[in-house]
Amino acid sequence: MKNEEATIFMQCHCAGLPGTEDPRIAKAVRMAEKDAALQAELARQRTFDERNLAALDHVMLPQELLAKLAASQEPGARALSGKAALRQPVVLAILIGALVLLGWGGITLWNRAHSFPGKDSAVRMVEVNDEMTGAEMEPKKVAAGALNDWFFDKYGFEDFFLPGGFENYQTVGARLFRQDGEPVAQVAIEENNMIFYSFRAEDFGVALANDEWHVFTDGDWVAAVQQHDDECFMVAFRGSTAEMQDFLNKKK
Amino acid sequence: MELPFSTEELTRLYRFALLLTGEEGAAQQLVYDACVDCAARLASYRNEHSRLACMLGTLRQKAKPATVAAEAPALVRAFAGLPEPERAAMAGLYTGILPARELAEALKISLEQLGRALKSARERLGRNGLALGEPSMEQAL
Repeated sequence: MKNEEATIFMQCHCAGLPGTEDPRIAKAVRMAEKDAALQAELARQRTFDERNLAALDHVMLPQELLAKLAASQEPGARALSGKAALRQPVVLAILIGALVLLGWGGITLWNRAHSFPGKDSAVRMVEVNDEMTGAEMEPKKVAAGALNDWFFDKYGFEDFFLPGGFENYQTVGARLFRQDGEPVAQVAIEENNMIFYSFRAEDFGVALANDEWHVFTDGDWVAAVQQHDDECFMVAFRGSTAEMQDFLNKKK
Repeated sequence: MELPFSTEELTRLYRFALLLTGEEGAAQQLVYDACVDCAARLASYRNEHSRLACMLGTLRQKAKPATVAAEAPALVRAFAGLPEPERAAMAGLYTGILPARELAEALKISLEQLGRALKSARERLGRNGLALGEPSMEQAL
């Protein structure tokens, strides 16, 4: 999520009111709480809302309205024709419910086909990119394959892994960060602003068939992950699933 | 007429109506009319959000802004200066009738459009005299 999007979605947040926890709103608020400029805007918004909500709290339900509603009688129900009955919300709800169940079944099957153990952790690694400025990485202008020794010398990380065809990409920066206490090697690539990741499969509960790509998207990002023995490699860039498939096909 | 709403929910609906119409009498009539309109349908809905969304949509559809008296509370006067859909969006958010996503659906806009409407509404309310540092609206109401 970019700052501009966060600025919009955090507007839907209203402290003190229940039910504004849509993931996009929650993410925008989390981003705003970490960003210096947005932090101030969020604070102003909260103070502004707090005052207005306090004012609105003084508006009570008029007793005369309550009495009028209580005194009213429900109008008698009319007999419905077949067509009219079909248009009744309860009948429509049943029909829609049946369609939703069918759709839900399809979505569940689709999710099963596209999900994999440890996917949540992989998604979080990709989400880290949106919160980075670039300064977190150490500038490294080498071929990606040459970073094996560097990760070991600098961090003692001996599981840096690149699949065939990825060794010659020119890097611009690299670092090792920890997610849930486990190491993740992250490399920025010059071409197409790609990001490579390497991590131990068991650290994040990833279990995939050897050398098989799994593609997923997260916001603007598309990523492909594969496991080779105990190590995992992931490549991510801003784009679509089709672009990633095209990129992977060229690697074959 | 049996309504599946608690007093708290009716209070929220009344506040929404007040912020839309700008006048207490008009707001009371609006809530009553919406209850009559929705009463037959409400029992068909399976969950609270759908019932509240039905009421919120009807209130918005039937609301005709009344002339706001000069002595009306500042918040109500400020809301009268908001165009649609900013007014309904802000009133919906502040009254807490529905969570933001359901509110956007009830207003027939996307969550992003709701965010933009709320941003614009907050800026306009600020310019209209509800800016920070001004006397508390609690006193005004």
